[in-house]
Amino acid sequence: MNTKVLKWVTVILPVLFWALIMILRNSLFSGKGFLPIDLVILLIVTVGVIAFSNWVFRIVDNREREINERKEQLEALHSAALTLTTELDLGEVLQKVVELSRGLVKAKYGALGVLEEGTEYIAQFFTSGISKEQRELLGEIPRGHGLLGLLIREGKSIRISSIHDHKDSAGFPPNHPEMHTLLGVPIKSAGKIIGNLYMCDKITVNSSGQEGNEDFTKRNQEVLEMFATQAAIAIENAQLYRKTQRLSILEERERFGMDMHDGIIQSIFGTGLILENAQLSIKSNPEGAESQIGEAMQALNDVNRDIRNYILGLRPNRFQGRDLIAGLEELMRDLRANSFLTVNLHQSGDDYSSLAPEQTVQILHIAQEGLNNIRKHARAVKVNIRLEHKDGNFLLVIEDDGIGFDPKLTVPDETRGIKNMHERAKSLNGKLQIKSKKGGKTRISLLMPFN
Amino acid sequence: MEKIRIVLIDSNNFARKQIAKALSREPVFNIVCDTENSLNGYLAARDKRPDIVLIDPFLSDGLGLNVVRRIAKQLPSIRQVVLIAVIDVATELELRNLGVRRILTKSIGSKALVKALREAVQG
Repeated sequence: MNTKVLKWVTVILPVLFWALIMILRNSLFSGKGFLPIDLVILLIVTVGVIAFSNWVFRIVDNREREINERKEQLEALHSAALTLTTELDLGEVLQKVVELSRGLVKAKYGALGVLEEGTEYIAQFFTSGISKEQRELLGEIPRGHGLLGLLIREGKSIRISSIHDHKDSAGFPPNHPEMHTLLGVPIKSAGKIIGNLYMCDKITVNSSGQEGNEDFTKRNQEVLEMFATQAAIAIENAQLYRKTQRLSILEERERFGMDMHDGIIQSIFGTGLILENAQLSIKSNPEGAESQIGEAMQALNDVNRDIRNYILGLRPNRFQGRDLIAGLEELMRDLRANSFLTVNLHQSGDDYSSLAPEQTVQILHIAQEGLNNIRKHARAVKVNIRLEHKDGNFLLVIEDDGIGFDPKLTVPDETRGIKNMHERAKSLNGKLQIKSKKGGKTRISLLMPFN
Repeated sequence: MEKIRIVLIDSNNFARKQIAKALSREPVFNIVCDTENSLNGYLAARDKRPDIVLIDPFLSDGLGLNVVRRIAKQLPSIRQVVLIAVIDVATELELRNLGVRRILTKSIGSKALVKALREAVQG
């Protein structure tokens, strides 16, 4: 029995019942038949019953509608959470979180701000709802002022119906689309905030198909908060996954790869064997012994150089025995494990194994320095590394989409690193070029003759 | 004289060269192959059937442990002697679990190494 039938039943039944009572009363007591007053009373009763029934059913209808809405939202939440579990790559997870959040609360614009560790400033900003061109026009990502900062500081959800009128609003930068309503929800894990979700401009389409603006409801906030919990788990998962990748590489390196001290011990061991040989042959072959002692001294010099480099913070023999691609992939793994960056390598498929080991080492050191700078200063999302072999030249390009810098104004620490890169490039008979400007992308390129 | 045939696998070229030289001083040793590469080392062991494989599992391609495992499994008659720069507990356990009985660290001088190699073929 559906609601509509029930409605009719609740009207008809009482009326019939009343009519029955009337008939019985008449036939049992007065025998006079129906008086006009009886019909009037019947009418009043019918109207009363209809009114009462409508009121009760309106309440029931509302309840039903609320329950359906809730059910829909929970289904959407469930579906979003499921979708999130399919992703393990950290960058992809973060992007998916924004997009799914937008769908859940029907927001026109959505963003996820990831904080720079230990600070209240935004290091990465994932967006959904603006085109790539629009995003490029905007340039720098927000730092976390104004309302963005309010959420960061408060650590609690905020719901604002007019961004413009809010006292903490810092306004919009140029080229930023107009936004009116805001729903902000923190993503917390183990009590720590790992990111903040910002949803703007709830989309509603009214009965005539027109788009309108509505405030975000408490229900929207609750759903987003529930999703934020799921998102926190997915983000932690992706971070852990990255760490385990890193751990197994560390393990491999420490046990069966190139530990930085390993090479020094090997060299001293080898030198010991040379001296032993010299000792044994000093009487029977003094000239041989003499030259071997000379060899040993040379080897000790190399050991000193390795120790010196280690003390200066460079890894001795770190890239020894690696080919260029393997070395670059290792640098990329390190970078991914220590940041939120997406790093990609594109190579023209050429064979770079004919590069001399000294060349490979220098190229890898240059790449390492470049990538370190990106990690420390660029606040980028994506890094692209490109290798090309064309017209007798070798080309390495490292590009990032971060905030750039003014090559003329660099901190002494950075300057030394960049000088180092130039020197290495010179030792390769090559040229290093760093193109960047404040607010724009940065591009490091190394051009070297290579046949 | 029955020579002790040895395959030497070590990624550190400098150390490997000196080891080969030092062992060649002993007439009883015959180094049938020395290589830095895991695959070459395994193939040499398989094809030349030495008495001893002398290996530093810290190979630059990261596959040193695999070589030890494969030789232990498929060429069990070959004795493996590990010569390593630094030995930690985990690595030692892992190697012993694979049947390696002689683990030496790269200390100064070749006396200990020579002694270990001679003993390896005896028992």
